[in-house]
Amino acid sequence: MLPLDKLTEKAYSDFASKGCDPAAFDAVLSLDMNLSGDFGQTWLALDRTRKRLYRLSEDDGAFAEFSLALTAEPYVDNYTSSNRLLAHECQEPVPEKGELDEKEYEKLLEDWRRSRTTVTIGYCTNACKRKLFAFVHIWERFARGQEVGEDDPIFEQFNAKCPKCGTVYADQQRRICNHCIKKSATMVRLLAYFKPFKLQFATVMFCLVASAVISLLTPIVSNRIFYDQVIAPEKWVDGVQVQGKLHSIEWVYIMVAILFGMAVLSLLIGILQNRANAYMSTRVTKNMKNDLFRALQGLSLSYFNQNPTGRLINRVNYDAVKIRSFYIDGVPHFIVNMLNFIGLTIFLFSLNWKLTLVVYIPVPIVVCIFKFMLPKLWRMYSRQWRRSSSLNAMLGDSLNGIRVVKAFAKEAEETNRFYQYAEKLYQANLQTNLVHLTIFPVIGLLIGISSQAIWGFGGFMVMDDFMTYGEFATYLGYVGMIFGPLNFFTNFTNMLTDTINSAVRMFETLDMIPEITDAPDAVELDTIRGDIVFDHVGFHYNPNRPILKDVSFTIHAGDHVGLVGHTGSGKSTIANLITRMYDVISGSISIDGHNVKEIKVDTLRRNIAIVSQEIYLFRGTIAENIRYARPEATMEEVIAAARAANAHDFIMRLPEGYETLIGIGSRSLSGGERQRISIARALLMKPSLLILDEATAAMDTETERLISDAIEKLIQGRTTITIAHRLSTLKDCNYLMAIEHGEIAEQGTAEELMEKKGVYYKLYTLQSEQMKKVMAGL
Amino acid sequence: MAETKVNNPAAENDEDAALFEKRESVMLTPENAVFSRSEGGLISLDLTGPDGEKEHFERVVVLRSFPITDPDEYIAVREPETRKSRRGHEIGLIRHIREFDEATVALLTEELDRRYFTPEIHRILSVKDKLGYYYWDAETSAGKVSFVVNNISSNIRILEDERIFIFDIDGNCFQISDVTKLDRASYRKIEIYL
Repeated sequence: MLPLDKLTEKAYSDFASKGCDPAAFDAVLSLDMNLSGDFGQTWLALDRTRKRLYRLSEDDGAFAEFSLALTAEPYVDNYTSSNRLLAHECQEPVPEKGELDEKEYEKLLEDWRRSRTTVTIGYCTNACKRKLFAFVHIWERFARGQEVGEDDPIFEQFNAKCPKCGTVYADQQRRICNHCIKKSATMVRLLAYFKPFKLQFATVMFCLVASAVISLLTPIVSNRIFYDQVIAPEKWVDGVQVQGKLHSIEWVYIMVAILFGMAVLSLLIGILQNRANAYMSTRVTKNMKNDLFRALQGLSLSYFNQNPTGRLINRVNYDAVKIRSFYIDGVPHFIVNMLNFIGLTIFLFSLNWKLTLVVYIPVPIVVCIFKFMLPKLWRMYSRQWRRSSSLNAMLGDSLNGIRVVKAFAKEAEETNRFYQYAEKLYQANLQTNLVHLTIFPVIGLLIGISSQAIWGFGGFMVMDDFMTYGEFATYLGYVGMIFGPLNFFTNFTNMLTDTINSAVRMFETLDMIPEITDAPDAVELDTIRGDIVFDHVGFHYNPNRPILKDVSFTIHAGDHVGLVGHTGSGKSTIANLITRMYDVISGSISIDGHNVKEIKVDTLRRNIAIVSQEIYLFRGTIAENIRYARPEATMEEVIAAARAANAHDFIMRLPEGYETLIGIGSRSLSGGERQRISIARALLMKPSLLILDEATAAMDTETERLISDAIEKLIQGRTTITIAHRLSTLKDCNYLMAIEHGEIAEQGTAEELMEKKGVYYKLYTLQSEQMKKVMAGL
Repeated sequence: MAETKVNNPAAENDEDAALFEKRESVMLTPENAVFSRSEGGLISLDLTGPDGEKEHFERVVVLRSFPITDPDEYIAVREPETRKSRRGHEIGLIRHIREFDEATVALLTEELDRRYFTPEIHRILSVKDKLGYYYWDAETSAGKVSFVVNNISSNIRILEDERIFIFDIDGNCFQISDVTKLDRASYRKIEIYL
């Protein structure tokens, strides 16, 4: 059975009880909805040998079977959040191709289609969508008599399981197993970033321990020694001096000096720690960001299609900072708090265990409050944060669109909209503050109760000479310190989770293997002549939507080829495949006799220039943008390229000429101007193969004319591929190919295609009719 | 009686006709449109043109123009998009579904509800957070369901009328039309994300 879904034991026996042979099923699909449109389980099974499709509903045991000979052409009606699998069913068997030629067969099929009814095979939610499409795909391939093996690439898209524990990933696009991420391993890997900074790291650790020790010692020095031994008068108990050992005025000076010294020392340690930290953390963040950016640049285009730019920017900026702050603010404080907590507990118990028991009575309550109330409070803060960011978004939206707002006189409405957002933010703020202002005083009171009790108990103890006043004051000092660490620990888990999330995301990007890499024996070509052969090329971005089905053609060096077709027919994809932005799924592409997979990617991209419909100009001067691909080009060459692209004149009209800054936030150029700059950029590369992908679509006809004339001169002897839907753009091509539904519908010279009266002819008639209408003033 | 033109989308092979012909979308009323259940359990339409010409559509697709705020108004009726002809034309628009008789309303509503499948959450059994992925268990109008939501701030959408939509990682959608009607335990589980 193909690795799509597996029958459960119950389903297996249910199928068997209906007279099927579950062991012979070729493919099984489990749908998560029943036929009445509720959640439930429905099984579909394909049996090739018996030519049957079976359906079994797990809820009510309803069983149905369809004859594969009578049922065909399955397709999925893709709803908003559910999907319906439909198929055609009729009385007569699906005609078989046999000896018939394409046309006759098509006619037969058409008759067949006319006599059929559309029936529903099943429903499922989007959770099964990918599998549903795959099932349909398999079904169709079976219908065409093709084989589908267990290793077929169609199965790669799902069923991806964590190699360790075998659970299917929750998000197939992000292959991270939530069950198996080893928190410790991720942490250790992160530590590698701190490795070059061993000295700083050691310094920080030393400082942390030192400051913990100082803060623990301070109450002893100031209370036990200063009060008991210096301030208090001499006191003897059973022949042993317990108080006033240093009862003299000089010792007051010495003690004050010691206390002052400790304050200075702790300040110095603090400064040292912060400096070492700053040195280390800024560099660690920098290194992380550099690594991430380098990894991103190396990845293939498909990765960027799957991950929106905003998310990637966040990853580079936010995640690195998050990780840094964990190591800078989280880990050290964790260690300090840990040490403090252990030290404090020991001190408290050794000072007076009876009192300490009193102190620890409210601890469980406080821990409970921290544990249950604080997460709520943090989430309230995050809600507040979300509301404030949506207020900001609205603010930005409104102010950016202020021209539109004014043009439609919508100032009052915008103000009202702002009031609404402000109101929501206010509500969130208010609630958060109310909770905040309630929780903390309660905690304060709880702590207060215990310290008041301690004052009482301690008072008795001091009066009864069980402890000295100094010991008691030391003790109070420690009690005040114990709740800090408790508070910290409750937040620490949150912080840990967040950081691991960020780290996992970061490593995910760093570990990503680019889909397109140079083969080890890739050849380096100096120039490319431009003989391009597509041999039965198939390609898809998403396995459920084939873009190119079976494309074969040959382009000879020096040809000027035009590609026509509807939007979405696969024209731009052909350009992307030639430059190996993506790899073909089936078939092969060769350039000058070499398979593109065996040519160094670098060679390929250096020799092929694409001017695409998406123009991107970087921040910088016009000259820098034109020279982007060849920074060593001379200014003469830049000007010549700009002239060729018909950009020189408008550039010279700008106040700073070629030095005018463009890009985000700078002078804005019109669409046509930007396009001409991008053409100049491509021309400057002196490519052996030029691909113009709707390059002149945004220009007026006159400019287009001028540019195509210029290009015409330039491409003498070079191979050029022009992709366009406007036929006028293609007038200079000596060979045309019409693409339709991922196939080459027709090819030949313009005259030949006109005679064929096919796709090209129709497009031509349509466009010239429109032209005539324009001329007639309609 | 005028000859009935049979519109069979799958049979309509000549898709490039689409470049030349554009259907004029008409207002569909009980006077000119008769909806019925097709043999395969789907919706068929018999349309009478303004000049009395009759057309039969073996299968039509119904779509809501305002699926969230006005689910019963401005229902578009289109030819199905099939493999062969990617884009189906709009046949017409129903101003308000109530103009039709009860049986038709039931037929259309059933189909529409399937298309805009958005189970109503009645009870939330649990919401668990694991590394930024929230695992939900809930009872809905369509039965018990478990789903996973990530990026919770952008995948829970609150409308102005306080209806709540929850989108899971597969692109399924769930709604809570009145959060105040949820039982207290359920409400407390999601309160904080709202």
